[in-house]
Amino acid sequence: MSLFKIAWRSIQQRGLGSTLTILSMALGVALIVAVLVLRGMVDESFRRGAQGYNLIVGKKGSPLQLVLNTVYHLGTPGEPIPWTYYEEFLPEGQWGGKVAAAIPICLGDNFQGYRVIGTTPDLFTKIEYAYGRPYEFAAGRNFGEEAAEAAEHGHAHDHAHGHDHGHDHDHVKKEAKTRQPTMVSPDDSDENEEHHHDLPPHFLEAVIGARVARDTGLKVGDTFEPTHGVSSGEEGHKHDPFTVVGVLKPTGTPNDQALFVNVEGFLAMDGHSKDGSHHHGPLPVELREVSAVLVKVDPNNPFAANGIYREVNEGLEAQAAYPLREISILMETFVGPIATVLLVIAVLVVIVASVGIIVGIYNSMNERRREIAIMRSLGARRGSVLSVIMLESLLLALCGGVAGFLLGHLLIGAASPYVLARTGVEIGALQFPTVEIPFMEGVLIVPIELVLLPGLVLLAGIVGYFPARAAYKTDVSRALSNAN
Amino acid sequence: MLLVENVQKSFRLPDGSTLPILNVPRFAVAAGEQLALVGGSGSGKTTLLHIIAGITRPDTGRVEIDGTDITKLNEAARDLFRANKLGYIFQTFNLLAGFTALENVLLGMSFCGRKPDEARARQLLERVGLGKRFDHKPAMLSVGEQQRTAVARALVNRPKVLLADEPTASIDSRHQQQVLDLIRETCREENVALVLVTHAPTVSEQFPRVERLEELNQLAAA
Repeated sequence: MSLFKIAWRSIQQRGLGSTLTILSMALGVALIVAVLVLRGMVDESFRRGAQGYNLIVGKKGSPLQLVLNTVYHLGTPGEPIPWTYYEEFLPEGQWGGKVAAAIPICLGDNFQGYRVIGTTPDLFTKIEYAYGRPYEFAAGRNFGEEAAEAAEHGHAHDHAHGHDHGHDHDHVKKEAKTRQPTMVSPDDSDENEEHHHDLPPHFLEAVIGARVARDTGLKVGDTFEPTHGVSSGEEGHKHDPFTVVGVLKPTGTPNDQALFVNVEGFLAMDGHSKDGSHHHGPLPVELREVSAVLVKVDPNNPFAANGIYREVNEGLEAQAAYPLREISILMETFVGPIATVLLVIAVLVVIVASVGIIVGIYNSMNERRREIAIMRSLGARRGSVLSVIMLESLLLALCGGVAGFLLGHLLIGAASPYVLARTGVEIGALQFPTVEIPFMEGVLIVPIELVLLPGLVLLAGIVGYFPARAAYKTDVSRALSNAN
Repeated sequence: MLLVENVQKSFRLPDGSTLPILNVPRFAVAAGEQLALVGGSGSGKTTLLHIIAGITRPDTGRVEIDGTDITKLNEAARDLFRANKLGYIFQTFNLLAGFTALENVLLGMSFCGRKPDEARARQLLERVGLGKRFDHKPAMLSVGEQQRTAVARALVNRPKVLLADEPTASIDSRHQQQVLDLIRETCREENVALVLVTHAPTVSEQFPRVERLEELNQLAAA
């Protein structure tokens, strides 16, 4: 019979005590896993959300607020900046020569609580949502004149990145022309008639995020009416209906929870004019405002971002923020310390559970002395009985560890919808984030389980050593005499 | 087969003084021989058994089993020797509660440096009448069955010497003879030298050779 089996039998024999020890260890490990995974995933997802461009330009104020608002759709949008400022990033503008793409972001409306963002089709063609990952359409196409014309001429031309959506084009085109509001009640339709503008159809096109499509049931060809205000709780009147021409594939970024409409249509809506005036066509440039501008600098000019950052911030009108830097600050300032405190608590729970292993084994030492003496009388060496106790400690820790990993990932799975709903950050129960090995940052990155598992083994070895040493030193003759 | 020569043993007391326990000039048992060792409390019989088993080291003297002086062996070698050449039956059986009858017997084979022979363990359990009790834990066995399991465990490695420390003392009178017969029969079948410690005349009188510890141990005699 192997020493492993002897140790396992010993654990089984002390079923209740062993179970409680395993449970307490599992709880500690689950907490560690949950905290590490959540921290890792939140960190990664936050960073992913802010990829694809270098700078965010907006009204002077808190750069973090600007980033949270623009990228993560959190909080209330700050004051807008003039449209002309945005134009400085276009080819003819002050910074045009250094910029590969400048995407306007206009905020202020929502649909069923999801943000409606006025922007240009470039958002989906010139920017990737994560490094090497372009936006793709699950159905339909991009919005805008070019895409509409391509659809009109029957080109199965995907303006995002090569997705076949030609099947939907005729349907979309028909819906866009007839503009039958499938999401609009008859009463609202009458009211909306008063606000209809003389706009080209492609001005009133929209592309929606995957989660919005899932939760609202909107699909290609449907129409929706944005409501003024950034959340569903806000009072506001409805605008002209927009037609959904594309549904994005899931990106795991907050953009899954947004509706993107053509900025021309967005600006033409009532209440979006700088002076509050009503217009029956595209809004004149002098009356236009933009909440933020996403700036992707020319990749051949790596220092351009620094130059633009400095120049914009030296001015009085706007600020430029590095999204990744702001997210790092957010992580280090708020998320990091909280996660560290939770981690410390979790580690303490594991240590307490480990002490529980020692206490459990020591408490049963009288009984064990007899067993050890019997084994020794059968020829077991001192090293063998030491190994049995060490193995027992190891098995308890490993069982607790495995149970803890499962429990931790279940907790993450359970927390996932909540985190997604509150932050737009998508995490999954089966995601295994990695950690950098201290002193080898950037060199050795391994899954956290590969760090925790040896850690548990080491801990089990340390806590198991003390009772194992007592077992090693058992006076067999005396223990046998007592047993008899 | 077994030779104990000039063995002395004393224990150190908490006050620093020593308490002599054993002084056996000579004690020998031939292969397959069966003898009863009789002695009162404090006569040193358990100490002698522990010394023969290599559990306790004598202060002086030699203990030779199957040609090997175990007092010359280091502890690990003595452990291995004990596993292979000696069987030990205790008064209280000393089965491990978490293990089945079969596992308890297999445990006896776990430290002898060879792969456990499960067929041998099963065969011995059948021999002691526990063929249908392989998977029963000690708590599910009667007292007599527990002692029979202990007998099987002690003999599983085909030892040269079997030490039995009052093996029938904890058994009711109805089963005492049954267990005693079993031990003697199996030792005879396996040609094992049997040293059985007892203070019960009804047990010792069945043995062809009876040694009184008071006569063997000069300290006890004094």
